[in-house]
Amino acid sequence: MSAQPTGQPAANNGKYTTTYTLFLIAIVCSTVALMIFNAVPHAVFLSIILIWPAFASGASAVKDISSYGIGTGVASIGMLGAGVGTISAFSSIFIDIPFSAFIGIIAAFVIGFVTGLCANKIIKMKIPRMELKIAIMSASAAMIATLFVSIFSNNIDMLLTDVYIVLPLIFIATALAIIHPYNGSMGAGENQPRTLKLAFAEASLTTLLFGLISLAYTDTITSIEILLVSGLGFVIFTTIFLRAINAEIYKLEWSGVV
Amino acid sequence: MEPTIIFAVALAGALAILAGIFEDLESDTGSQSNPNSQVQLAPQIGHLHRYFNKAISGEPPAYGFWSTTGATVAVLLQTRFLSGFGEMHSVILASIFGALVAASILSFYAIFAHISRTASMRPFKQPLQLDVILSPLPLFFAYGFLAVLCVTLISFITNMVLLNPFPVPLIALLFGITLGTIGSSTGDIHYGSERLYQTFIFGSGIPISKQGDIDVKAEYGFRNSIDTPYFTSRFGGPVTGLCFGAIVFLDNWSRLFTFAGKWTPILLGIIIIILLFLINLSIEIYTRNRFNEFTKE
Repeated sequence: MSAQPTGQPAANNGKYTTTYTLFLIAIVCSTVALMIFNAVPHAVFLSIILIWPAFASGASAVKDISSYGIGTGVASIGMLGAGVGTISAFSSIFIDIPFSAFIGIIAAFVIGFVTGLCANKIIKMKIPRMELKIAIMSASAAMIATLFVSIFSNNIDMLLTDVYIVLPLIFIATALAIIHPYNGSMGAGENQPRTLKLAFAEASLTTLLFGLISLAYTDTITSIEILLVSGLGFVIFTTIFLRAINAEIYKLEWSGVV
Repeated sequence: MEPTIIFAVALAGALAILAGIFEDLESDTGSQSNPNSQVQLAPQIGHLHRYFNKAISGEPPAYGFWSTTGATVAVLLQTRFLSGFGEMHSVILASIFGALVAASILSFYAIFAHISRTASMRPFKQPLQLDVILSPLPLFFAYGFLAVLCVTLISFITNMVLLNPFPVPLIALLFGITLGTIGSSTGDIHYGSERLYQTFIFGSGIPISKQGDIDVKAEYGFRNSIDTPYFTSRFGGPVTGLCFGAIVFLDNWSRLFTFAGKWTPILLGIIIIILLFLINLSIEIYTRNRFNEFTKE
């Protein structure tokens, strides 16, 4: 229950992490995650933990673009970015050179930048720094897609293409996990810390789903590691998120007349 | 022509009608998609409400996600069940498990959206009431489960009996996005612009000045998200089902003929589109003649 039911927006203590900082953290974490998976496949639980910042970085980019008055276009801009990212990552399956996974991520960044340039210059949407934000969104989605395609094919070079059945799920689940934190929190009292907490909760929910899928592809120990770490993360992040809600809600009650 | 294929076409059409009905009712149980904007705006103009604010990024991506989840889990399970249960039973059993997983994820996303959006309504003094979350939850879980189950079964029929070359999850993604689009465009009108605006003249549309000015009081007590499907299941749901069912059935039906070789379904498809266009045109001309053109107040 809030301590100050004044009807004013709850102060978020001025905490604001720029999308660029989040993206840098995501790049470092995802690279380490892919390296760990490549070197020690049984330490996959570390890779799962290290991929969560990529979801937060994507969600923050969606928030930055959408707060320029796009509103209901959150879904469209998110699907655009996530689509570019995941398709670049999936295309790198067919490149037969070592560490082709990273080529997919770089390609996602470049293609996302060009898409944003087209939107800003040709369609004239005139949203400040939209190019970079779409590039960040695409690259974040590409990191997530790359890690999970690698995990499902037990191989960082993703040469095994039996995983084509789960590609649609990776695309749409990543897209929803990136767009929904801001979409679900929109409103006058929205603030970045709470949106990012929701992003982490939904990231762990998404990796939990991928863990369930991985039961069909990887050995049982890897799947159980993913499931355990994601489940634990989901419980922890949901608790943190619910605490934030509890602090910011106007009034919490079982039922009543409004 | 094989009887199996004719039966499969009919079954896919029937399942599509059911999927449409359940999809529309599920989205109406939580004011998803178009009505969501109105429910979101209501506290800002002073109407505190007891609707479930289920903001999941628009119905098409959301239904794409639920359907793909259901179909992917079902496909992976079906190969495990195949030896024990036989082909048909393994598909049905696996689809049930897939739909359960999808409906669980739907519920988590819905709860997160409602509580987070309500917390963002703090400046307008919108309270978070737990019975508003807990009472519609089983209802939209059930509707979501049934809708995803139907889409997964249609995808299996399309892939295994009608021999569509795409894998089942990709078909489910396409069908899910189609279903969400139809639910958003056809079904939601009967909730978003009628149920929420019953105090205004029927068919008057929602001008900007009326946005967010929704009905928050019911026949007795407050309007809530459980009574909404009671209203929309009379017309909005069946119309959504009819639309999606017609698309799936006519598309599959056009593949039964072979009089022009590979081009038969495309030719038949073009004829169907022209016929539908003419029917729509005649309905609009009839309506304008019968009820006159739009007038200014």
